[in-house]
Amino acid sequence: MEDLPDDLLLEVLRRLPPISLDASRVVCSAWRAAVDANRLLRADLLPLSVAGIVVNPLSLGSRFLCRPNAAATIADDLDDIRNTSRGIFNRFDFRVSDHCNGLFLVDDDVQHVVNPDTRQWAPLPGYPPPHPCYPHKLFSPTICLVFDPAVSPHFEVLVIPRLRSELRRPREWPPSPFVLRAFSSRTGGDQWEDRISLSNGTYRVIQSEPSMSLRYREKHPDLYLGKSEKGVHCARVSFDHLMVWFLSESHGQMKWVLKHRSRIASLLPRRTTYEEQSGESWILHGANYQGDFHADADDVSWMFNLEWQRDSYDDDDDHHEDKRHAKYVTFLGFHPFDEEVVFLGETFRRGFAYNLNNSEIQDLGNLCPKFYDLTCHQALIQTGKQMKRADQ
Amino acid sequence: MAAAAAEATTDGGGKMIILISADGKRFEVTEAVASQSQLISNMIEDDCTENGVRLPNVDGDILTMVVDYCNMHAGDAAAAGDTMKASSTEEELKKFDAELVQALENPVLFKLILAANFLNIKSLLDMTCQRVADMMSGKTPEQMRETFSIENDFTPEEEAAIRQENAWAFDD
Repeated sequence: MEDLPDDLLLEVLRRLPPISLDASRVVCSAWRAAVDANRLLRADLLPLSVAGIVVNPLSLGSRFLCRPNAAATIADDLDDIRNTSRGIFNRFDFRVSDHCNGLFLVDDDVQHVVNPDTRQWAPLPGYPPPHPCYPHKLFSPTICLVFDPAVSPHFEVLVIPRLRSELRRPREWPPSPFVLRAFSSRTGGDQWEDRISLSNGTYRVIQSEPSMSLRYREKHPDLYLGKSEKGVHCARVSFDHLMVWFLSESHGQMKWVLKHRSRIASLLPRRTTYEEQSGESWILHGANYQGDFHADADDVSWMFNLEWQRDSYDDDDDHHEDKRHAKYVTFLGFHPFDEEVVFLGETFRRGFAYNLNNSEIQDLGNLCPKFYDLTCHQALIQTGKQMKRADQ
Repeated sequence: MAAAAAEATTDGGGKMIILISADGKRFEVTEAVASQSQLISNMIEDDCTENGVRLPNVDGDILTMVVDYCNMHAGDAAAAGDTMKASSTEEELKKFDAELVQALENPVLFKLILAANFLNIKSLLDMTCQRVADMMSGKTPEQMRETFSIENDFTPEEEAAIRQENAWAFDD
């Protein structure tokens, strides 16, 4: 093998599946140099499937909404995490507060970053005190987990100041400098570093479209950012309308282009028919599990990694004929690998996949844990493995 | 194109070219066969194949394999017009290709890669590189070292550190 010059070694290495490519880095220094110098370990090492939707009911731990079929093979992994994590987390019923490319940011008394696939976890140092420019009175931090194995094997956690109220918006927004606090697993320890300012040009502000304007902010406060393989998207549910924009770049200008607008509430099937749908529905794991965090909850199955099946978008025609409006539509997230599909929730009861192009709807199933008081059910809901979080 | 290639191979009326290996073995092939090598194809265009093409980087036994491969694959273009024939030929070709690389010892396989690269025969390069990749696929670093007789030049500490680097992405 030493007989092969570098360019031919590369020809061989780039044909390897990611897992073998990773192994090849350990073989000898020449191979490692070839892999690293040419950035061969790329995003395609990610499992290209939608893991499910993480539902965070208020005051309960996370629940996972997944397809029913592939469950058995993966349930063991998650059981393992659940069992081994007992020494790490004080409560079994932990909350997943963010995730990125397969890693979870888990909030307990101490924050951890967890990889369910490799069953690894690492504690984070406690969150840093607020930056002097962003007092808690005006700003609440948004905590984001950032992990892209295509770029680095290390993850980062960012603390992003977020205005508590649009009404108290400072004259200059976003402020310059705009300081984020960041933790990197590369440096480790308990170090948070201050990072990024508008003045040094490391990022730029993309103007929002007039239709994204926050006129109705009081009632409809949120725009949902997300990304798929095709780029960055933004969505908004305003009254019963769904609007979706794609970020497009031309002539060095970034701007939002409206891709979809529909009266989504009238498209979702009415609730009384929900109970009749069963076969295709996803399953909310831990749905019947309540309160007692130290209970031996063996009836809770945790399941992940379910393949998205395109052919199951088809919905019962009856539902399309039913024009009775759903009560309240929430945006859960963008499909990480298919820019045509978004996930929606209806009154936090029911999850749906919705195809922007042909308006096909797939009922994913129940979003709400049993016995749960719906009025309190404010949830942080996340989707897939590559999804940006969507606050509610 | 297809018609021209067919003429050259079926009538035998195509111009013949002599390939000469490093150890002096001579191979007579048609232009259609030889020009699967981009290197030789360029030489044909430049009209410098009159006195035979010397290939000082390629041994006779390797060139034998390359010529066999090119002879087998020269039919590609000719058969393309006839779908029935094309499909059966495709199967035969796959079988031929698989048998060609399957039995090779590593050093010979690497020499074949070098020859395919030098002669610039893309399909042969693809196939041989894929063969090596297939041999590595699914193996542990230790097995890879063993398969290709590679010396581990990392210290145990270095190796542990490298294994750790991607620990977030992979299940070891």
